[in-house]
Amino acid sequence: MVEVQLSSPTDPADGLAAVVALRRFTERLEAAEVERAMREGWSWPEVAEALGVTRQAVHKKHAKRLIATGVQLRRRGH
Amino acid sequence: MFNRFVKEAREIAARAPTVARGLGSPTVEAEHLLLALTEAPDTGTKEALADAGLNWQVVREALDQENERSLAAVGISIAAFDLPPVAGADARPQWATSAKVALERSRTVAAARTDSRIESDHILLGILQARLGTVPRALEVAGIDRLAFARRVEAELDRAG
Repeated sequence: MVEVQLSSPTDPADGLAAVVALRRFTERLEAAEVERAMREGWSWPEVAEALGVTRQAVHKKHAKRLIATGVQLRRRGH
Repeated sequence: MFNRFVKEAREIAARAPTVARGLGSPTVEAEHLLLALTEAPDTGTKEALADAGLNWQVVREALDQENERSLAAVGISIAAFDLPPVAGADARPQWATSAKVALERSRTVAAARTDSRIESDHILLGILQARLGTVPRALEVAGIDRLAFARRVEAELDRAG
């Protein structure tokens, strides 16, 4: 389990570097979680709604990669 | 964009998106240019990096450590996550500001030295000019004195020129 204890960096350079690292982390986490959801049979509209983005946006960002990694994708509307 | 870049320098710029993609990054950043330089065949730049103790593996580890350290500053332990490696991003990664700035600086460095062509050493110098951001932080982790290293690369260019 992940423990997150929020703390404040003391130096702006560390704080701003944390923002950059968090962006990278978010991208990786999104890729991993979208892949997991799709492997578990979620539909694009469900993943999109959970992320609060449009189906087109999530499809555009992840579909090719998931197809390339051999994830069986549910067809639209099923 | 790569006007006046010699073939080797163009190849570095062409390789950076592949490096970014291989690491699952949706963007091409200055660190991907640096990693591309560590692999550049037949360049003095690769040797200069190696002389400073920087090869692909060392830079990758320094970047990972920098990432861990930066996340730790806001209380996130990356080791606690079991994230699978990203198997290649979708589209070609987009050039991000840090990489564009590094290339622009390589041009500025060459102009200031009145070097007519932009070589891979100039790209390295362009990257090393960044005082803030991921690359200088990773170099610090790797124990590199960024400015002293840049001076050595410049001295090497002077000798070659």
